[in-house]
Amino acid sequence: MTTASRAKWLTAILLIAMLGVVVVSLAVGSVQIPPDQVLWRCLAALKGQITDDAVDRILFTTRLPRIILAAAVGSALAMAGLAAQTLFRNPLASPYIVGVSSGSAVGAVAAMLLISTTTAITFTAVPAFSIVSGLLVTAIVFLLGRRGKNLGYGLLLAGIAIGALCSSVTAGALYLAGERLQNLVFWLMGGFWRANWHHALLMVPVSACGLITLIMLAPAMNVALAGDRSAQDLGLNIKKLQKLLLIFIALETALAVSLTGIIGFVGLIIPHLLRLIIGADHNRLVPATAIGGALLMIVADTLARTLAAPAEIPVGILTAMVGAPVFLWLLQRRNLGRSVV
Amino acid sequence: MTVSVENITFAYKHAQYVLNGISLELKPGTVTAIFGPNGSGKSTLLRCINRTLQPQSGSVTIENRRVNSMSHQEIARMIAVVPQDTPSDIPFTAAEMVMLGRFAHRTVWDHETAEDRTIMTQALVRLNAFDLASRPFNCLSGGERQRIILARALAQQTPIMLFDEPDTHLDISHRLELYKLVRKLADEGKTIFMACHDIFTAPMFVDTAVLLQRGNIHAMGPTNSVLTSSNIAEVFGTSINISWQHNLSFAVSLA
Repeated sequence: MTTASRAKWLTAILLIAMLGVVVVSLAVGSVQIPPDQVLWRCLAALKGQITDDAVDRILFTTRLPRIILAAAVGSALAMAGLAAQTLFRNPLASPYIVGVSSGSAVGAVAAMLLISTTTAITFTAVPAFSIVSGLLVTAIVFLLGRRGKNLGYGLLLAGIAIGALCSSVTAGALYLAGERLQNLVFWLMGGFWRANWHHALLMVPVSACGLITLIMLAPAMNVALAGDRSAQDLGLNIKKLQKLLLIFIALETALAVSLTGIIGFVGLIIPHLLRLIIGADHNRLVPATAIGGALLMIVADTLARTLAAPAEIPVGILTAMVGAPVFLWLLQRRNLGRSVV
Repeated sequence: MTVSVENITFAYKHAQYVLNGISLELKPGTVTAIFGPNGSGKSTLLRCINRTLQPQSGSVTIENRRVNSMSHQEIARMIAVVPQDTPSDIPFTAAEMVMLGRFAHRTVWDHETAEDRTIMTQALVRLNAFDLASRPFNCLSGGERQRIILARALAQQTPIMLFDEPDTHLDISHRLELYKLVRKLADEGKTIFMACHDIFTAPMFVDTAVLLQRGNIHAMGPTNSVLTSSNIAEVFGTSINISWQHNLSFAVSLA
């Protein structure tokens, strides 16, 4: 089978798997709803017939927005990870490498400390503060690291340094403020328990626009992998592409993080794994990555809310628990030095 | 298409001038080869022509259009480059690699078309590399990689082609194959400019030779008037006897 047809099959399988997982995820939880009933209720809902009974409320007010948010955040993070891996020509880059997440964390701390600890206000202030500070920190990283014909090295170093600085601020605040920042601990681990339709309807267009953007940039991203000089010879303004990718990473990641906290490893693992299976051609990799990220996140979140029910495990713990061993396995299989972007 | 290079100077940061007022003209249907010692500025001149380096002064024009006023993509639709070295850690198959040559002809909205694939296949066939198509680029030998890069440049379908020391990693038979292809491309009407180390076999396929010495043109013209014993001695600081039999062949002996 050629890689092209393998890619088509894999994308189709991922899509079908995702739909299946959505049904399962709607069915399971503190109230178990049989899958056939889930399907009938969904069909009825599509026709506009939503009743006011408990089952419909659980399905369409509690579980569905949460699943949709998980899918949108998962694909946003996976696509941002792919963009980062292409920007840095390094398969081990993640969307958090340019400092967005640590910047967002500082904003979240500031919101929690400065504004209020009452939940109602915090829940709108935290996303707003974290998105602004996440974007701000990325802008600072860009200003510090923009020199040279290739943005890669400068951004990488500036991102790591500024990220470390932000993390120390967050850690210091946690140390000093202790219990007042209980929320922050949950926020840092990431999760979807606050999910509602507002969040879902905010995130879905962002991910959808992201997907369209990356599909349009796919040929240019392919050329970027050929090396700086070749990329210019082939007609690509590499620095312009890198700036676009940086903006893409910052927007997708900052919004995802502001709504659901810092969920690790999805952005690193999904593009990397799919690249191993279907090759590096972004025309195929972009759609597969978007679907793969959504799929993994729905699975992880379903586990997060059912494994220890009625308690919730922060989904960030689950993705990391699955992600870290996969990551280590990849490191064992591939030589770090010889990049296989 | 005719390329005019007018009085360009170029210096890298904190360095002396690498190019010192170079002027020359490249004509369609001809092969112009530039010879000179390491560090004489051959590659730099090549890079200034397709604006991957920006000369400090002077101008490069293609059919009276200044290269400076064009975007990278416009330039890549007119000029293809076969670079000296290509990183080997590129995660594409040979076919995907050749397909990159079509990038210059894309717009944001139209992606890979059937025409692109036909052109890609033709380029591979022309380089006898069709059987390499689905092999990973990073698993190919040096010579095979070179053929794929050449195919990529052909897939760009440009009227002008620049070769940056394409002979570096090739043995004599592959070298001759390459020069024959270069000659044929010129005979098809392309404008060819080639930076070259090989002063012994390349001249057989070249129309105009340029001899570069520390950023200055030492001699330029028909090969038999440029690659002479005295010029070689002055530029390379080594003495060999070159006796031209007719326009295309010569005998070499130690002086």
